Amino acid sequence: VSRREGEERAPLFGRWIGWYALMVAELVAIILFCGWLASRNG
Amino acid sequence: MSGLDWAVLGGTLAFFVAYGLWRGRGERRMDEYLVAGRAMPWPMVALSVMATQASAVTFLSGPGQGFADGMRFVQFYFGLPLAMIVLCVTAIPIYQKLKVFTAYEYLDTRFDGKTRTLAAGLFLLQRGLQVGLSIYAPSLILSVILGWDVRFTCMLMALLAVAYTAFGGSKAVSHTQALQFTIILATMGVAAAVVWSALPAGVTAGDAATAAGALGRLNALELRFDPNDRYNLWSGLIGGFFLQLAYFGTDQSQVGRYLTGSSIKQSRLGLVFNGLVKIPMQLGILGLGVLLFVFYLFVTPPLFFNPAGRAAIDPAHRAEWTALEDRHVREAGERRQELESLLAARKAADPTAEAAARAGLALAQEKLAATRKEATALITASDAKAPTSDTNYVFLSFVLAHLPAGLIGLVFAAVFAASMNSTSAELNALASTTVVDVIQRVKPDAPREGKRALLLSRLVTLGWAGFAVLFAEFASRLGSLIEAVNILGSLFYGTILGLFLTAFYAKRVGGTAAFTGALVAQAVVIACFFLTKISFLWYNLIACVIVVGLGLALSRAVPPGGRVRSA
Repeated sequence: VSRREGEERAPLFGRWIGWYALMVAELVAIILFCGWLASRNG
Repeated sequence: MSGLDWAVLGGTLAFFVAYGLWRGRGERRMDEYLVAGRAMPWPMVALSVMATQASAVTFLSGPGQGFADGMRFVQFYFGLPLAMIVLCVTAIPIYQKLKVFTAYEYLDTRFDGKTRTLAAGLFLLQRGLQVGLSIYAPSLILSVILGWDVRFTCMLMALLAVAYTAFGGSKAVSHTQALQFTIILATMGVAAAVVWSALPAGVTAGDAATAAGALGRLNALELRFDPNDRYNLWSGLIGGFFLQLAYFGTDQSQVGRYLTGSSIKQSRLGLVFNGLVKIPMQLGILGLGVLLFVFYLFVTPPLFFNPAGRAAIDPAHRAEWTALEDRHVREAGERRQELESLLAARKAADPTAEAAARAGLALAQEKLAATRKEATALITASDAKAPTSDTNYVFLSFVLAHLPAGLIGLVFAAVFAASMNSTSAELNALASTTVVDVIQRVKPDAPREGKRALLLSRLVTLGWAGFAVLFAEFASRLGSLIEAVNILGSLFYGTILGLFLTAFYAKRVGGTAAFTGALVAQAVVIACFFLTKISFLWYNLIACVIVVGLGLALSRAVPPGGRVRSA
């Protein structure tokens, strides 16, 4: 297997999409939580 | 510290080193030494990645930052989960399939030798400078608190980390990091529980949030865009994304950690875990600082947390200092009364009294801040070289004053362990890059396998540890230049990232075009640093755009010269 072939056959999102969606969802939830904290600031 | 604390500290550190040596025993192959035999399951990868990023300063400065500046630093990490996704999709499959030992090997395959040398050289320069500082910064804090000589502390810190790193390589590093990081998190959790239990009876979570919010410590989100402000939603999401992408995707101290994964799946899960846990952990550390701030609203804090600052007061200013301390105690009492009025007004649902108490609390805080300013001026008047910052000492001051015997020693052991974690990964990465990307290329007959190759790698690790200690010694004479050295180290990330993004995504760009783009980008970033006020978080984006853009533009003129080799 040539190195460049190895690169091109690298799997992309596939069945990992659920994990990535979970990370994005958690980030959104954290930003909302930070916004809620900031609303109580000052 | 009591005898029990010293015993816990000494025993825990000895155990960590012994554990590292035991885990690193019996290594015979270079892939075991450089990437732990590519045999680690994802929990080890995840803990190792997190432990490498979280140095001792994270656990000392983090609570101090929450105490003094509130929660806004958390926004710095907003781009991290997005960077993890890009790395899981792109970098991990490429690095794992090519079975590289360092990230820079890939650049040789994709571009050419000179581009690999440029990236590896920038990494060695940047990380070589910073490993000394990552030993010096916590050593300085610990030496002040423990009353040790800073040079001795630096030496001890380096010796503890290098003992198992030089002997056991990447395998020993991964195993000790996993163990140490788990203990560190547990210790920080217990410390937070102690702070919470130390609050006066009847103070609820809502009361604590009201108190922290009234004095501006819940500033966890800033929507206003300002390129000169490093902590807002946009700099965190965009600038932070590029910074984390550069750090995790191209810095060998991190790439070396997830290359230890036994498969693409295990490495990916390690980074996914990091993406899920890092921001909550950072929120917890800053939250601990905010909780300490609330605690010191009810209990009078020291006028200045840093013992070195207090010790600097000369006899001529002693009486003035005592008067300031008396005023500080009185003003802290007034602030406490205003806070109690605020909490009572909230419970009574009396908006008029609440508004009055909020204004009174803010005024009391301003008085305390003014007194503190006078105190720092007095320290400088006594000794112009004395430290005028004390945020790094807030957490350890609380630990020493309020934690039970035994637990104090464990917290100090955790701080040492955090430093060992980041230092050991950095030393391992510097050694890997020096051996694989420099020595084996410059000297083709250098050993690549067997006892001689292992011996060479161990000697190089020891060499870098020696350099780090010497630089740490030198750092004590740099004074305020330390911050400049620290920032200078981060100036190269964008260029290296630009090279890797070009390699990953711009397939028609060849080595010469990418190399030229990288040189121009580096010059522009250095010019930005000296001539503009743009926050350093944006340098990575600027350099990336220049490397990729110029690479694409030049690729029309310069034919690709990348080589394709068989695996």
